[in-house]
Amino acid sequence: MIGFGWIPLLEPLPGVQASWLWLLPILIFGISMMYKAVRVGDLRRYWREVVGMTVQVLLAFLGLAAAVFIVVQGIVPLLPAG
Amino acid sequence: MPFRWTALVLGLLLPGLGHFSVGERGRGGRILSGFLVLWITGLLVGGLGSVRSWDPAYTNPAQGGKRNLWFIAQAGAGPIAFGFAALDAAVIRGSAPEDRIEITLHDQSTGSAYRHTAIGHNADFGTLFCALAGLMNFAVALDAGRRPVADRRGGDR
Repeated sequence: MIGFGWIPLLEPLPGVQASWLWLLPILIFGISMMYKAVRVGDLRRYWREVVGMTVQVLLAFLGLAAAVFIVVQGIVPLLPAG
Repeated sequence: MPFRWTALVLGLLLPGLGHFSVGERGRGGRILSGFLVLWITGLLVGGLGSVRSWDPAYTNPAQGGKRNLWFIAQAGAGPIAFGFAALDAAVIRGSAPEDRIEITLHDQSTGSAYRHTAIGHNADFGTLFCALAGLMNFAVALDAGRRPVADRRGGDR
């Protein structure tokens, strides 16, 4: 929870250490904004492209996380210890 | 088509200015907006110490200053990066003794740090956001250099 004593830009944002995953969509959204500003042909499609890229990258992250979870939690324990 | 060095330099001076200079005002504004999302979020998350040219997080300045390699990426933001690094040097690294606390570093040595220095995920993400903003801006400025002035691909330009 953000305290009232927080001084933006001078002090680090409180609460990030415990819940940092929400920073990922913002990071991807910012990168998508800069990338699509250069890549998109028709700027009228800009925001649609930005949202599309953000969702695609987030879904890719989710897929990778699920795959790693299955490997670590499901497949690795089945392997012979020796 | 010759490479437009002026557009590259302008893009490094201010994100989006390179595209603005070749008539792509719509793109320039969007580039600046995207840059600000990354840069300001980085500064909010990690504080001023997110943009630092010397003494990266988890190092003891008393043992001799070290160059912060993340700043190479952040320097892609041009004068903005150097301005914030100077601000960090003045406010955070050059803080008064009463604003400093004693800390034990990972190598068990004792050092001192500004009492609001970011650690952990704050330091990591603050630095990462600003580094990616700088890297993206460098790539975008290169694009401004090779973009023809008469390019009409971009709808409202």
